[in-house]
Amino acid sequence: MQKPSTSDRDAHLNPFAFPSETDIRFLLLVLAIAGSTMILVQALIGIFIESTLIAFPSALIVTVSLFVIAWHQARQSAAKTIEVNKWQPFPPQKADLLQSALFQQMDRYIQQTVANVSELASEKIQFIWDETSRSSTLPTGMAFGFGKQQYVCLRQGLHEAFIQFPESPTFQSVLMHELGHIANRDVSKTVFATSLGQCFFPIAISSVVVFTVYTLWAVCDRLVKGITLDPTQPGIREIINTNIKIIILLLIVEIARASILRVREYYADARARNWLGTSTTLTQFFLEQLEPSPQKNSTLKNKHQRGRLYVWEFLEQQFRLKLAPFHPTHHQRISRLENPRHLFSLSYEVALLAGFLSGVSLNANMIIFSIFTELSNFNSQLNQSVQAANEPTLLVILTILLFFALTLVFSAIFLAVFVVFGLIPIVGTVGLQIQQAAFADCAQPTQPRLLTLQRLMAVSLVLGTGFILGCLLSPFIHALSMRTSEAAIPWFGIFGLAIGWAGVFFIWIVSIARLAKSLYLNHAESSIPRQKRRWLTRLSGFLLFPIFLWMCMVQILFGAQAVKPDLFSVSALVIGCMISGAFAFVLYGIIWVVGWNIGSARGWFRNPQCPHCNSVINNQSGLLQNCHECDRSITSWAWLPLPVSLPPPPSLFVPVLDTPPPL
Amino acid sequence: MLTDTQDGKTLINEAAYRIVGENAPQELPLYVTTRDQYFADPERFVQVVEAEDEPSGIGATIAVTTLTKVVFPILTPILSYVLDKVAEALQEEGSERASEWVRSLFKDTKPKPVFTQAQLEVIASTIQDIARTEADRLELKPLQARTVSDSVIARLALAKI
Repeated sequence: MQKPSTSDRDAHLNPFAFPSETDIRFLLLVLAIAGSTMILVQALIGIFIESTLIAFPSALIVTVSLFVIAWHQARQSAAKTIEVNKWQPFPPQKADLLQSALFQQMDRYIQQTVANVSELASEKIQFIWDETSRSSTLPTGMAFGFGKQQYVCLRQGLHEAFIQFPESPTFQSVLMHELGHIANRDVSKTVFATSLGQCFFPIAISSVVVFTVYTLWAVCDRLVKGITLDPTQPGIREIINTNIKIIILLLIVEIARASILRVREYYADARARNWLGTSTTLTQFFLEQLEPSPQKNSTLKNKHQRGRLYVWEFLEQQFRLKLAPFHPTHHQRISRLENPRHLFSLSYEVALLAGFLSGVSLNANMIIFSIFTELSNFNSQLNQSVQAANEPTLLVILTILLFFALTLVFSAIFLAVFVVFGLIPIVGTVGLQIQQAAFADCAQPTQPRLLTLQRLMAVSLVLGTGFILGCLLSPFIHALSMRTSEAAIPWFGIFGLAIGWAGVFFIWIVSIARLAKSLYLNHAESSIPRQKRRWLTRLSGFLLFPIFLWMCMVQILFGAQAVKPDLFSVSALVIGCMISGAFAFVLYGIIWVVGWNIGSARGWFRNPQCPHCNSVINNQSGLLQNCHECDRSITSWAWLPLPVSLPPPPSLFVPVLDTPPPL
Repeated sequence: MLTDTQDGKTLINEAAYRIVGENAPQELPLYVTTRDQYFADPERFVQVVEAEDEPSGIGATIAVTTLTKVVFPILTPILSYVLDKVAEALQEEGSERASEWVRSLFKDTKPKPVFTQAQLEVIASTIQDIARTEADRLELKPLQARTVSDSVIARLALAKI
């Protein structure tokens, strides 16, 4: 394999210097499923028991159990898949000597390739052979497994592709792509995401069924008792409304799950490209798949011959094609292979999902506020008991201690809910994307900018709109809900809130971009800046906290004013919001300054020194690859690594016999 | 159909092995498995496997088309036709003789000349038509089908009177 020239390599940043979008979306899925399970279980329990003190911990227990079961299922899945499909270890035993020799050669080639790739050195990969499944004749592979058990399934069709290697790019493309999944460590995440989906959907669907049954029961009960349906109608409307919102929530979870599968393909392609040192092999492979193929025509014909598609099948097909495909199109893959800079760009889809999931989960878990009311009631009861008691001193001390202990627990839970469901979906996704896009922009200032002012504004608006949509589409009414059956913030007010959220996110995004630029541009080391990235991620969480909390408070107060207009006047509300906003932004500024000082004290924001000759490096015109004094590599972490040295293509001498093999 | 009789299978086996050996010897390790799959169920052999959007795979791919996969379904109707023509030419010697004659085409021995140039031209043109039609019907690569038909035509040219 010919190594690319230095100038080819110079053009591309290493997409693996930062957490991949797969990790970001995986985090979103985990939070989406955790948040949705909490919402659904609390609501289900709420039908029978009104106490939040029971509903919230129960929901928490169910959610944790769901994750434990999914983890267990994921661990078992590889062994189960192999057993069910009757797959066998590779290379398979064959009576035919020629075939056996070819399998040995293929195995040798694969093992040599794995041995030459440093990213796979710590992995113990087992290769599995599939000649039993329906699509085994196709030249594909599949990386699967969980934890330390990593497998690559090789299909029978790949054996035929191996014969045509190196003339045809199929074998090498498929092999390197599947090994790319292992090196990217996305196999366990994919399997866990699938198991999570399998565990979550029964809970979700049973909730929809229970709500529907409850609605029907409520209507029938009133009809049987001869009660007019009039008072029930708003309730029925609310429950239908709830069902629709739950279904939307389920679709969002499935979209998030499919998006992990889709995005991880880009990174597996990118990893294969890094190893091969060129995008040509993979691009050629995808181009071959794009060519008009008789097989694709036949698939279409088969579908037409089948006549009508059932409505459900049609809807499912459209949903899978348009909203939640498992794979990107070949065109999209080719475009990212040819320009890995795409992997640094901002994703509006991630911003929308992050905003939505943050809004829906945070709003639904605002049920925690009800606990506060219950705690107050409990405290009043204690007070009464103390007053009636014979020895009040001891009881007073105990009451005060209990009150403080409960308040502390409540505050901790409130903070955890706020951080897990409100901040992490945004900081861990959009925040990280901003960091890497800012880095790409300052590293290669001559390339088209990824973070233009318009893009920053657009992503803030998408994030803000996503948050508002999440609050609006939250299946149950809680503190952050803005429209209820009784009262609602007018639509222009909701629009104003969306703009307010967008403004808050914009300020936050600009701050992160500024810090990321200074932080990464001055990282002149061979290892990736993992410590700096973690520090900046934590700092961006602290930065978002006061302004996010303030904006939540604004939304809650406007919502409360809409329900009870006599609670306080709009003008008083606006003044209150402005004063609290000023405090929030002052706190924001203080955190920013403290963060900047900490970074400066560690020397992260000043021009770095060459680790070889100690000369000061000036990176203002872009990230330098080599020191201008000693010409040695100083930022190897940021650029595409050199390709791996692959074994020579196999050559098998096949003797042609005078007589054919007997029948 | 040729694949229904042992004699027919033997003839296909000899011709197909020779064609693959000459044009794509690197595929010979696949030969026995592919041949046995074809003889076991010729109808199923030519059915197209739909490319699926499998969540954990590389994405929708199309099957690799080796000459070994194409040679059997293309060769069977061609050999049936050639057998008929040889039987016509060897009227007095019977169909068994015709089969032996066709088999000899794919061995190193030179077959007994039975066709005139004019007859050969008609036969060659028909063989090409059969290959084209079958490739189109079964959605196989036309170039590979052409390789099969050309190999048979080249052999028949040896039998010119």
